[in-house]
Amino acid sequence: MENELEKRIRGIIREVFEISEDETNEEYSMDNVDLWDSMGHMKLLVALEQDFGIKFDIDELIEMVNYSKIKEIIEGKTKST
Amino acid sequence: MSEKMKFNVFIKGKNVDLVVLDEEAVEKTEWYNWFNDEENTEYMQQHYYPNTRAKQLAFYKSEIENNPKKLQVGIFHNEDKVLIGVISLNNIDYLHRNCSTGTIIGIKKYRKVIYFLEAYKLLIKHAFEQLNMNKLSEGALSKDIADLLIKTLGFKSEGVRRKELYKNGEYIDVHLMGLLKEDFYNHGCDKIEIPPDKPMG
Repeated sequence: MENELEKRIRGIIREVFEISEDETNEEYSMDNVDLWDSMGHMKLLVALEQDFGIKFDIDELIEMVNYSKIKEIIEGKTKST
Repeated sequence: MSEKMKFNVFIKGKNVDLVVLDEEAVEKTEWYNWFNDEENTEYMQQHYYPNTRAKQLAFYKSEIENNPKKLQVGIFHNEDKVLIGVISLNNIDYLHRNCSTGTIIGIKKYRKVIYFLEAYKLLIKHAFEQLNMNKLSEGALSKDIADLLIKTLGFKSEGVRRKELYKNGEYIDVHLMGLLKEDFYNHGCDKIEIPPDKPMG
């Protein structure tokens, strides 16, 4: 069962990359989402930063190439704030 | 699709090398055709007229070969042995020690942040450490690309040229950025670790 944080992250990913809700994909990643290229990556990170009120550093920006990693990083940041 | 071919490496990287472009690169890769792709060129001053191999060869001969004001190299995926893009220093000014930059990753599946950043980092270091440049400038048609360069490589925003260019049916802004040598090194941008390209997480 998805928790609120997971729903928010998935919702933002779907919105940025124009993925419909019925397209179920447990592991959104750069390799399987059509619009997730370099520019899409920045769109996503800016949207996540704004929604969660956090900032990602360069290493995080490079690492966040799939849903699991994004969730892990955001969980770490939101726990510590 | 570009066939696998061998290039002379100019600057060695982890996932991508910057390689020497020559006439064979024009003849044997899809380099010229990247500029005919609407998606590739959505945020570039390209795709106004069709490009051909002959035009690309003429461009290579007049603008790249033996042109001291331009340094253009290929972005070569060193595992897949494929030319995935090109990157350049343009308008190199040896008096004021500045130049502008430009890049395209022409094959969609390679349009990933790590390749983009690695190619930029390699070329920027070359500009500062070998060509003794003091400043690089960039004008991005995409705010997202501007954000990426500012956030990762130390570029600073230098304003917006409002409705500067006509593209896709409208006049669009150009986001200006500059990178001083001191900013690149003081912020540790030269030490950004580019991970090897493998599934992460």
